[in-house]
Amino acid sequence: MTAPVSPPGNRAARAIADRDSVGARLAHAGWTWQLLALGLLLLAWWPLSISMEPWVPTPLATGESIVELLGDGEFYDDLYATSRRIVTAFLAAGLAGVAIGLWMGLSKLAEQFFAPVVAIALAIPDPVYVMFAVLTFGVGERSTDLALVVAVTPFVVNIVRASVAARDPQLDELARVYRFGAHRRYRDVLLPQLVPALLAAGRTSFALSWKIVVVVEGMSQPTGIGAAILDSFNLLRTREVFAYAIIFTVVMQVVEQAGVRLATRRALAWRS
Amino acid sequence: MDLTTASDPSAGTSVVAVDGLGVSYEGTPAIDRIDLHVEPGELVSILGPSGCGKSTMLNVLAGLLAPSAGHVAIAGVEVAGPRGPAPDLGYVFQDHRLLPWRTVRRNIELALAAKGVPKAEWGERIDRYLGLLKIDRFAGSWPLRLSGGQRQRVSIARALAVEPAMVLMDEPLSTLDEVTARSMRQELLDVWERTGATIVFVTHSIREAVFLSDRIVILSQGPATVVEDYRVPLSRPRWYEDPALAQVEAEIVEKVLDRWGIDGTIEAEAT
Repeated sequence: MTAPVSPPGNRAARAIADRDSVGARLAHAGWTWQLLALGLLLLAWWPLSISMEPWVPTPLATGESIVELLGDGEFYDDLYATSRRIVTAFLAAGLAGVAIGLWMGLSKLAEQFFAPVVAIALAIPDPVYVMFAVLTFGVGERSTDLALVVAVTPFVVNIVRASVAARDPQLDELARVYRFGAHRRYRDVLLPQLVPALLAAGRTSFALSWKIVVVVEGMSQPTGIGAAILDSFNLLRTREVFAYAIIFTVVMQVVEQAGVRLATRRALAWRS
Repeated sequence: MDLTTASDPSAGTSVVAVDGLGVSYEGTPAIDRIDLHVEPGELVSILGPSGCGKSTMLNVLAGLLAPSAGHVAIAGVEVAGPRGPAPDLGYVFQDHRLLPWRTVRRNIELALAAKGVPKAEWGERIDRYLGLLKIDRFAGSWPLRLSGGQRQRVSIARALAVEPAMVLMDEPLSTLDEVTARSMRQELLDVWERTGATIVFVTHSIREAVFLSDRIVILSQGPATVVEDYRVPLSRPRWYEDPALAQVEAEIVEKVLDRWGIDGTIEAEAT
């Protein structure tokens, strides 16, 4: 005997099922939501550009500027100069930060010595580093790189130190019982525990590097995206300011996403 | 190492020789006095209430902690804390203690490398011991993909694969569910009989100690002393549900009740 299901109930059930599957599909395609967020941002920009005319450019004018810039050789010189500085700062701050962070995590003495230094370094505003670097080395690549590295390193130190301190003491015991030796203890027991933190540190230092580099270039360099933005601003070409910012953001996001995804997949295969 | 054992008269033939061991932390005694000798191929359990100083004793045997008094030797080599020579032992922890980012095989390789086993022998040895514990098909697996029982098998295989003078097991089955623990107990005996390994097995389960051991060394409440060195009067093979085994268990419970209960729950209930 089959119990007849009432049509309205059935329809409601189907509607719920449909909604669920649509929701599931949307959630699955994560980029759908990201596109929606970008769309809303554009939608908010439009009225703002009309009410603040001419200081906020319209999306359309900005788009034209972007195309212009991408066709201009000088833009690529600026992008190259800035990228080179970011890579330098990223690598140098990464190395210094990991070294100091490891040392602090493993030695109480180092922790006590560096903790106040790191706290102060984190509190100092980034432009102050730029000024001191320029006062010390004059305007030039050296002072730019130095200011960047000094500004980014403390963040890396902080992340690495915390993760070394939070390592599993039971695995240290394993290494002591089986007498793994210093080399294996670092490479095979400690380092893999730090991988998630190192990935986070890499992301942070990369993001910070490219945020700060623009400020540094604006203050002390004739070349680079930051200098170009400042030039455009001084000439009141706001659509160019927007265009530079957008292209730069897109490039950096692509690099970061690709780098992080790749590194994560390779380093954390054992977790899946 | 065999030469040292033979030529050192004080060590005799014992694989483990603990004589008058005392340990104190900053003046507070953790171990009062322990004497313990384990002969080659023996399976000896150490039974003690929690907090009696069992872990301290294990730390001394494993060479992580120097004794404050007395002497400890494994295979004739004096064990003197982290600065002394590496004691010739395999260690099975309460938990599996495998590195999750290395496959089963590579976990065991790490112990073999530390022990100085030539690389050419690694493959054969690992296969042999994984096979002995019936987990050879997991050699290439990540530890996190294995069940609790399988992980502990890997941990036992690692301890045996270094082919040490003795294997120290610190409540290795206590985190497993009862059914898994039972079959592991049986298999541990099989492996022990087939390898002839010398095993020191720490537990707080009297039944487990009776089922597994030739001898049970019963410790007092901390600071530990040896209450009794008890020889289990049962032939092998044994059966976990054997009434005779239950009777031996009851006998030991009798012995330890007044020793362990002195300032435990029993007195608390009496007053």
